[in-house]
Amino acid sequence: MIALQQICRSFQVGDETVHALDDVTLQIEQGDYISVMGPSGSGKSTLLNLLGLLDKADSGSYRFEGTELTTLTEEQRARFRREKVGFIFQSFHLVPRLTAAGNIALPLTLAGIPPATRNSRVLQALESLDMVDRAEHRPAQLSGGQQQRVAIARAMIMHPPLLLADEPTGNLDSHSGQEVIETLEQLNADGVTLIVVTHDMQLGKRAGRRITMVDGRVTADR
Amino acid sequence: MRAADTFRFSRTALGAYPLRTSLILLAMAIGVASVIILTSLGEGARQFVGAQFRMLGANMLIVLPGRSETTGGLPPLLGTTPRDLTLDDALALRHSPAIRAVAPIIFGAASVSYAGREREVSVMGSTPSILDVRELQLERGVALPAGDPRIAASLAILGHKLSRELFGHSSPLGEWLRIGDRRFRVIGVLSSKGQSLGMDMSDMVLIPVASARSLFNAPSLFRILVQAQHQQALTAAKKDILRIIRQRHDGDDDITVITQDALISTVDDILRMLTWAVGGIAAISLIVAGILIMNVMLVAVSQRREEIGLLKALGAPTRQVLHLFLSEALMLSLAGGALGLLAGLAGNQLIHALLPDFPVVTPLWAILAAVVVTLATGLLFGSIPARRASRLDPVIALSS
Repeated sequence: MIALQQICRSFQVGDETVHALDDVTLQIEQGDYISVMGPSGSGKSTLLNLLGLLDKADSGSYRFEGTELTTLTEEQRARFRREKVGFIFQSFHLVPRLTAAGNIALPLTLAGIPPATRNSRVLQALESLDMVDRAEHRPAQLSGGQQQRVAIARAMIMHPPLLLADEPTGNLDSHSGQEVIETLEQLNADGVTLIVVTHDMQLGKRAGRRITMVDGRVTADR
Repeated sequence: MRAADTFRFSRTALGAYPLRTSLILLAMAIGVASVIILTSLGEGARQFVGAQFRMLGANMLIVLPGRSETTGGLPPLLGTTPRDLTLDDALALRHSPAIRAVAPIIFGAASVSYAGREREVSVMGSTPSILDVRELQLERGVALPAGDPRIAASLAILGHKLSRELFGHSSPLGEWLRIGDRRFRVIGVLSSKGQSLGMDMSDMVLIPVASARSLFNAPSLFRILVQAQHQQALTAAKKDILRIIRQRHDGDDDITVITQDALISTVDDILRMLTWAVGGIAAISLIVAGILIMNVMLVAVSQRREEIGLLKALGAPTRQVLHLFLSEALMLSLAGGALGLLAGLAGNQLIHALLPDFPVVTPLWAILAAVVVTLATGLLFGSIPARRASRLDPVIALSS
């Protein structure tokens, strides 16, 4: 499904050049459950941003379902993010003025899908989360676990094949974290490719495939 | 993204910061309202002054002694003073076929007294034609006799206000009053006609021109008012006047002829320029409002970095983010413009209520210009923040 070939990505920090990704080559199959671990600054988040086309590689090749992505235009990259990728962030990134339903519907709204279709799909998503009664709540009125589950629903509303989660439980207590992880794993069980970046060893061990990164290089892949 | 969704998204974004949004709306509304009110006042002033000039009478020419322009050549050794206009000059003008009526005027001030009441008023000596030329009407009584204007007669027509003040509500017709050191019999009263160009026709007394000549001991005319046959005859009338007077004044062009239309159009032009200038000054406040919009939008963009990063992560292309922020700026400026338009029109109504005699006319071009400038302001000053938002790097925006 995903083939990374000799991906490099470096940043200029002051006078120093930091190699966030240094010659990374990876194969990821459809339905994989992968955890990416490593110390801060090891390039885990950069790898995730790159896989989700939020960031661009300096060199190397990124093929997704056989298509080379490094040569896409900005418009095509946006389309890829919209249709192929769901993002989960540590700090949820819900729009505070929109209701839970409005936040979940946001990708559909941006894609120009008519309100009727939108509403039925959002309702479906809320039902599967068992959060129908929270539909009209704003993020500030929801618990952290509920906010993250709304964010998951938003990430999955376009039915992307790839789900990228950056420290999804980092801001949650262990109980809510457990719930969120179970939700994500259920999606993986339904066939979605799940990649989780985390510091949490416990969480990392749950994945079928564990990648460890140090200084921009993949040091372990089991 | 559908237009309705864009609209709703922008509306909720603006609604999330009510104070900021209402301040921008206020600034925009003040700008638009001041354009509307000031141009309306300017346009009203133009129409008001135009109407004042028209009250002088239609198709009128004014003949003044003396020339307003100089011509080349050596200055005459002894110097020439312009010849006075005489009653005979005025009577000679009657021969022109382009001229319908000629009203010679001698002007002076004298005390008018009746039964112990005395007032200092303007005294105008003229002929019966003055009523036609100035489009005056008699409220009661008769006009001055139409005979030879060179013959004096002790007859007077009172202005409306003067009649009130000397005689109250009783009829002055047939009464004798004293003007200066002579006695005149009242034969008519003018109907109330407004003041025109500082000459209050209701507060004066009209006597035959020959009587005024001897009353003020002035052989020459103050000026001659001439009424042309019709609008198209104005030019011919002016030519005839110059020709006739030149003949009578030994070939000297020593008079000035002013057409009423030239006067009106000059004043009209000046006031139109003034309206534009005032509107332009008011438009500066619109630009200030635009800069305010830009400033506040820039703050909004930096406050909403996270949201912008999110929109991009959810698949919004650069162009879409640009449109979202532009539509916010446009909504702000349009709503502010609409409020300003309402406030401006309401202000005009208020001015109209306070000054009923003054026409407050909102020119259509001012409304259109305000709307166009409002839109342009929104687009222009919104585009810089919108561009900044759309170019935000999602990785950096999301990590903040």
